[in-house]
Amino acid sequence: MKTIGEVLDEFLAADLLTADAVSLSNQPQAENHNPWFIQALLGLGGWLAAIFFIAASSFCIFVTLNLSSETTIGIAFSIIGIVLLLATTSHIHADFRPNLFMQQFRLVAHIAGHLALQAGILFLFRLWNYPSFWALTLLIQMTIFIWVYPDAIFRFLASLAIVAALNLLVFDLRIAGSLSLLIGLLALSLVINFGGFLSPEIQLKHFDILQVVPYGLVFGFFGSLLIETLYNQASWNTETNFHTPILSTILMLILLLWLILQIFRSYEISLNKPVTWLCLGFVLLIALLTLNTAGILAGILIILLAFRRRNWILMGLAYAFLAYFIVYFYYSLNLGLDIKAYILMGTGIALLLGRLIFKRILPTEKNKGVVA
Amino acid sequence: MEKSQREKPATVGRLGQVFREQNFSPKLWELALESAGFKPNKADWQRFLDLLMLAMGTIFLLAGILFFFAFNWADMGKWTRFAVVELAVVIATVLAFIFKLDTWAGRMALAGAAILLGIALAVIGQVYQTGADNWQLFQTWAMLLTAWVLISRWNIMWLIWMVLINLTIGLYWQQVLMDNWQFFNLLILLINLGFVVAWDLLARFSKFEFVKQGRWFLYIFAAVALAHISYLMIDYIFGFYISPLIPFAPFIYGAVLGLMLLLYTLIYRDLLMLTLSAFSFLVVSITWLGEFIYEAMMIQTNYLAFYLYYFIMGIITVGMTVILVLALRRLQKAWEA
Repeated sequence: MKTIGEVLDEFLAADLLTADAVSLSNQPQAENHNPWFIQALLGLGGWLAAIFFIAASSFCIFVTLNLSSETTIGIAFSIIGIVLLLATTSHIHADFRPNLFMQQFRLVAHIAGHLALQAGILFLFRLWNYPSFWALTLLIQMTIFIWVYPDAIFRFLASLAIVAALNLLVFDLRIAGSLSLLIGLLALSLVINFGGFLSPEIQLKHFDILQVVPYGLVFGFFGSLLIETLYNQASWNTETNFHTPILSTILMLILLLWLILQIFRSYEISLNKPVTWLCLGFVLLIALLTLNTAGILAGILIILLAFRRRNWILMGLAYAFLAYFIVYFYYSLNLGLDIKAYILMGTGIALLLGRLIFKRILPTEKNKGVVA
Repeated sequence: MEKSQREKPATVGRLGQVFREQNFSPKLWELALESAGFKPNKADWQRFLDLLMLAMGTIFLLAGILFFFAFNWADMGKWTRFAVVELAVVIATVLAFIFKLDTWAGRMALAGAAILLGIALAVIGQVYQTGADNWQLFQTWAMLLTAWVLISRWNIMWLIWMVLINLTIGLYWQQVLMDNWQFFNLLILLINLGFVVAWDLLARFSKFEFVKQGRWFLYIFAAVALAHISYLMIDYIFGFYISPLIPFAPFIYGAVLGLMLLLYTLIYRDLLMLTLSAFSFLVVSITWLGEFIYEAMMIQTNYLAFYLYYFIMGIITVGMTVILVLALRRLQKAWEA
């Protein structure tokens, strides 16, 4: 991997930057004195201590106030939540440089503040009868604090909470095809972010958020697909218009085809070339064969996005989820074990043959005219 | 060794930080990513897709063959079944020696042979239906594997072997003894910690090169050993079970921590091993103090006692964490100096 200095030297050599514009320090810099395992010990201590202190505060407040009715409990929780959120948010924006222990302590207090505020809203307005409204309040709260509270772990957890709230909305409202639309929207957001389709100005302006939140959305995206497959199998599922795996697959197909075309365009590969039609046809074939399991196309989509930016973490996640959905697909086929065996062998042979065909159509610099 | 900002690898995060600090033009961002190698070219895509299709095609084909055998398994005679799995073991073993154990291909073949050996033993057990317990399968597997592990000079084979030994002991306790779980904890502690200590002493005092490399897997066994002794201590603290071993738990725990401290400060400097011990000490100490203070304070049976209890536990947790981390950092600085 190149160093920062090597990248900047290339820019200087190409006159893209002037020497005056670059003022990097040549002094040794420690990003963190502590190895990761000592940081983990500090983090664990911070979390445990925070949990104890929050438990102590809760006992103090709730016993002292002798809360009994839902309204007073709601008000008490809301006030505690707001106080914790304001205190931790002010602290993180002040120019303190707390150590890792204090950072984790503050994070736990902040999360406790969110939980307390949500519990307060729940009790105050009795939102257990109106899950959609509760989901909306959670959505708004998390969205605001993703912008306001610049902590990577919190932003990751908040993005998971946002996707959970959206799923709750979908399941409560039960609008036909809404789960598939949610899956499609999540996939679109991942394509835009990981595919590099955001302008550089936006990428740099919101760099800290865009480095963390999309990973939470990835987990949420695959989680929503998992929920769709589990819901599909649930014996208590009597409604067939609410979740539509075929619609999810179609949306994944559209995004995947669009991404492939964008990739070809970025490498100036013409749409008239056989390789283009072969790729698009191959994807279409996979979509037709796996109509009820959108997770397979979703996994392929994320793998391509991951390689487009050499994002190995995303690649690992995509492989893990793709493996699950492939296993689920074959398991759910209503066929005998012998037919499944032939299908698997046939798929393997098709992939290996496809590899040979690609090598024929696209000889690389090394193996032009050589068949592998 | 600490590096200057220029010398650090150009990750996306660092590039973004530099761009914002230096206020570079956003138009250079994509070029920076390309220069740092985050934008693959056509040849990179071809290699990637080629490898992906090769890997997935091979996996699907092998899975299909496996399912085919699974479907026809019931119709196969016992000699056919033995022939299939044992031929696989022989082929993998021969490949291991053809490729030589110093190469990755040879090592992977030997690992494959090791796994297939277990499958062969399972097939024998399935065919003959002797009614033997599972632990005997793992015991035989571990015994037969010993020679290969010794000649492999590869830590993954040792990892597999130790996992089999741990499984043998665990299943024996679960299926045969079904009692005296404290002695099970002690045995797991002795075996895993003994392995770690023996390996590191060999690394320090012997001329075997392979024991000096790839120590990462030792941390797994150290963590397992410490988890078991910590669990024994928690048993002692809460008095879940009555056992002749329980009164000796604090002494055993003290001896384990003392051994870790001596070994990994004087003989082999390893901060991660000491940190694992610190984790265990933190959890056990907080549990012990928590139980002690709870018993002392709950005599009061008022709510103020609950509030004070959690507050005191919070203070203790902060104090203990800070003390442990400061001690580890002081040691780290002393070693670096």
